[in-house]
Amino acid sequence: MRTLAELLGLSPPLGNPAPPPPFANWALSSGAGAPYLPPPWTPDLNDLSAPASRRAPDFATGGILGPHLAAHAAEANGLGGILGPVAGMFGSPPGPTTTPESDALAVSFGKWPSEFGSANSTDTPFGLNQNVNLPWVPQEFSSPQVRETTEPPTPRTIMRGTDDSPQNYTSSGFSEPPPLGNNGTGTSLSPEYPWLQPDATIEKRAGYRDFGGFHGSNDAPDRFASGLIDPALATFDRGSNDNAALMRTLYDGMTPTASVNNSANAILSAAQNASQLQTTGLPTDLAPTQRAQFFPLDLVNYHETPFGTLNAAAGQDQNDFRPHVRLDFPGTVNSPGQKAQYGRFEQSYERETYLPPGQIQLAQYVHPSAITGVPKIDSTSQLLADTLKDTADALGRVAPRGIPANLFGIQVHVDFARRIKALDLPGIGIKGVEQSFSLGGLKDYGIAGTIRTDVYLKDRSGRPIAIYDVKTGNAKLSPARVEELREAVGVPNIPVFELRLDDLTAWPR
Amino acid sequence: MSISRRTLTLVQRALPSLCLCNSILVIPPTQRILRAFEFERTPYKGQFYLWRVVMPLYRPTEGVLLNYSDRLARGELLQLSKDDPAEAVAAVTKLISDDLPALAKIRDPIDFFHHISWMIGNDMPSVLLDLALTYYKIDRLAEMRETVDRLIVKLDEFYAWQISGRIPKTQRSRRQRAWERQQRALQHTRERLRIAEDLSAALKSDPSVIAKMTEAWERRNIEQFNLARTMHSSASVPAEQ
Repeated sequence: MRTLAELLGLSPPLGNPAPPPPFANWALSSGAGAPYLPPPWTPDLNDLSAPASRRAPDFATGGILGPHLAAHAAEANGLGGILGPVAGMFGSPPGPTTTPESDALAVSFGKWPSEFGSANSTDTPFGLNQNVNLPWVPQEFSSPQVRETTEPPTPRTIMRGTDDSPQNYTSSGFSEPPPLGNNGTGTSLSPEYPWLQPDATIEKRAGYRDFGGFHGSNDAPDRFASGLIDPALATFDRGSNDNAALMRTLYDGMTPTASVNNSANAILSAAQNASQLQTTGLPTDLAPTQRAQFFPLDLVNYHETPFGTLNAAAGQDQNDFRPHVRLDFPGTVNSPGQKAQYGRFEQSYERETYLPPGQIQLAQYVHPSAITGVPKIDSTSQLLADTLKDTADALGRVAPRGIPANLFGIQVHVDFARRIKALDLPGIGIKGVEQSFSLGGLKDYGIAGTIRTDVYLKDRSGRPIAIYDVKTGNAKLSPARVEELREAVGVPNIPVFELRLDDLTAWPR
Repeated sequence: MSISRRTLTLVQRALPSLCLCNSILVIPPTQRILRAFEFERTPYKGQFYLWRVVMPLYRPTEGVLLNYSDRLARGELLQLSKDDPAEAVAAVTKLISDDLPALAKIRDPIDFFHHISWMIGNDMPSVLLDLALTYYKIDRLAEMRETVDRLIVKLDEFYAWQISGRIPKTQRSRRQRAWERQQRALQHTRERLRIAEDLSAALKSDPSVIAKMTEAWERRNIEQFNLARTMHSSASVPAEQ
C-alpha cells in the first residue's frame, strides 16, 4: 500500500518513514499515482518546492474541521486553500481573512500535530478532513502548532466519486485505541441487566451531588446540557479530538462510544464494529437508531470554483466553502435544501435563511413547548430528562434483540423510578414516583378506577402541579389518557409531560 | 392468602400490639384517625411498597386514602417471598417497629391537624374536605366555613371542567371503559359538591348536623375497614413523649 506522500511524489521529512494513512483505501480512489494536475488556467503552479510566503499555524492537518478551515488556513499561509498545494503558488493572497494567532477556532484546528510522515505521528488520522467535510465541532482552545516553513507542505488528497470505501475499518499499523472498558464507578449492571455487556455501568453524574441549582450537569462532562446541539457533537464528548474514531464511526454507522464509559475522548475498539454496539443495545448518545449514510457526493471539483471567490473580502459568502457533502440521519435529516448546523452542512451553492438547530435532537431535551415558565416545573422537567438519559445510558433506548418490548419498557420504568427515588427530588420525593390516583386522591395501586402516574410533582402544599409519564418505543401519551390523568389527580389543566426514551425529550401533552 | 397479607400476619405475630384488619396492620386504639401499615401492590411481581397510613375516619371514602401517608424504607420496593418469608418478615417488622412511635403520636383530630398543617393552601377538593372537617372537629368553625366555601368553588370549577370534557355519545361504545370512569368521576364530584353544600348550609343553620354527618361516615368506615376491635382496645401503643 502506498502512502499519499508516495503517491504525490513527496518524500518524508528527515528520513522518517511515513506511516500509511489509516484510510488509505479511501485516498485517490481514482487515478492513484497520478499527481494532481492544476487547472489549465493555473500554469506553473505545480512547483511544490516554492516556499510559503509566511509563517502560519499548520491548519492543513486540521482535525475534523474539514476543508473549510483547512482552505481558510491554507489560504492564510499561501498554500492555496482548497485548491491544494498548487494554488499556493499564486502568491500571497490579499490577506488572511482572519489572523491565525487570534482566531481560536483556527488555532484549535491545528491542535493535533499530525504532520504527514512526521516522526511524532499519533493515532490521529491525518489528511482525512482534507477530503471529507464534517460538521464543525467547537474545539477547546489549544496552543497553535506552528509549522516550520522548511517542512514540505502537506499534500492534499482527493476523494472522487461516491462512497466506495470499505465499511469495516482495518488498522493500518497505527496503535489501536483501547478497548471499551469501564472506567466509571464500577457499578456493574450485568447482574440486573443481563443483556448488557459486562462492563456497562450506570453513569454517575456528579452534578446531582450539587442538587439545588437545578443544573444537574454542572459538574459533569458538558456534553449536552448547554450549548447548541450539533449533529456531530453528539457522537463524542465536547473536546473529543479522536478523529480516527469519528471517521470510523461515520463510516461504520454513526454509533458513538463516548458515553459508554463516560470518558472524555471517544474510543472505539477496532475489534468491535460499531454496528455490533447497536445491535447489542449498548448505550448510545445518538437518537437515530438506524445506520447513517454518508454521501461524499463530489469532493473533487474544488478547482471549478472561480478563483476570484477565494480572494474576496473577508466575511463574504464567497469565502465559504461548500462542498457537496451530505450527512443523512435516517428519519431525522434536515429537509432537502435546509441549512444545517452552523452552516457547515449545506447543499452547494444554496444559501437560505438561518434556521436554529433543532431538527436533530440527540440529547436530553425539553421541548420549547414544554417550558411552562414555572421554574420548579421546568427545572424538574430538565432533571427528569437528564435522569432518563442516565437510564438510557444504562439500558439503551430500544429493546435489545431478544428482549420483548414490553419487558424492556418495564425495565426502563423500574430503573427510572429507582433513580428518581434515589435523587429524592424536591416536590417529588419518594412518594411522587409510581403513585396511583383516583377521584382526586392518592390510592393504592390496582384498585378499580385508579390511574398510576410515573412521576408527579407537587408544590409546597402537596398539590400536584405536573405529571410526567415515561414512554418507550413508539408508545405515545394519548389525549384521552391525559384527560384521565387530570381527572384522577383532580386538578384540571395540570401540565402532563411525556418523557420519551427514544429521543430523550420531554414533550407537553 | 395473598403474599402481602401473609407477611403482615407474620409481622403481627412479631408485634402483637398491632391488629390486622383486612389487609392493614392497625395501631389501636383507633380514635377517629386510622393509623396503620399496609402493603401497596405494584406492577412488579412480589414487590410492594410499605406505607405508613394516616387517614381521618370522619370523611366519606371508598377505600384507604393515602393523601397523608408516607412510604417507608425510603420508598424502596420490598421483595416479599412466599417460600422464604422469614427474611422479609424480619425486615418489615424492623421497619414498622422503628416507625411505630411516630405514628402512634397521631391520636385524635388535633394531632391529625398538626400532621397535615403543612398542606394548608392545598386546594385539591379531597384535601379541602378533610381540612374543613378537621376544623370542625377541633372547633374552628370560622376556618371551616372559609374552607368549605373554597371547596365549593373548586368543586364547581372541577365539575365544569369534567362536563366540558365529557365523552360524546357517538364515542361511548368505542370508549366504554373511559366513559364509565368518567361517569364515576362525575358522580363522585356531584356527591362531593352536595356534601360541601350540605356542610355550608349546616354551618349557617345548625352546626351540630355536621357532627351527625361525620359520625355516620366514621361508622361506615369502621365497618368498611373492619376496625371495630381496635376502637376500644386495651392494648395500646404508648406514644413517644
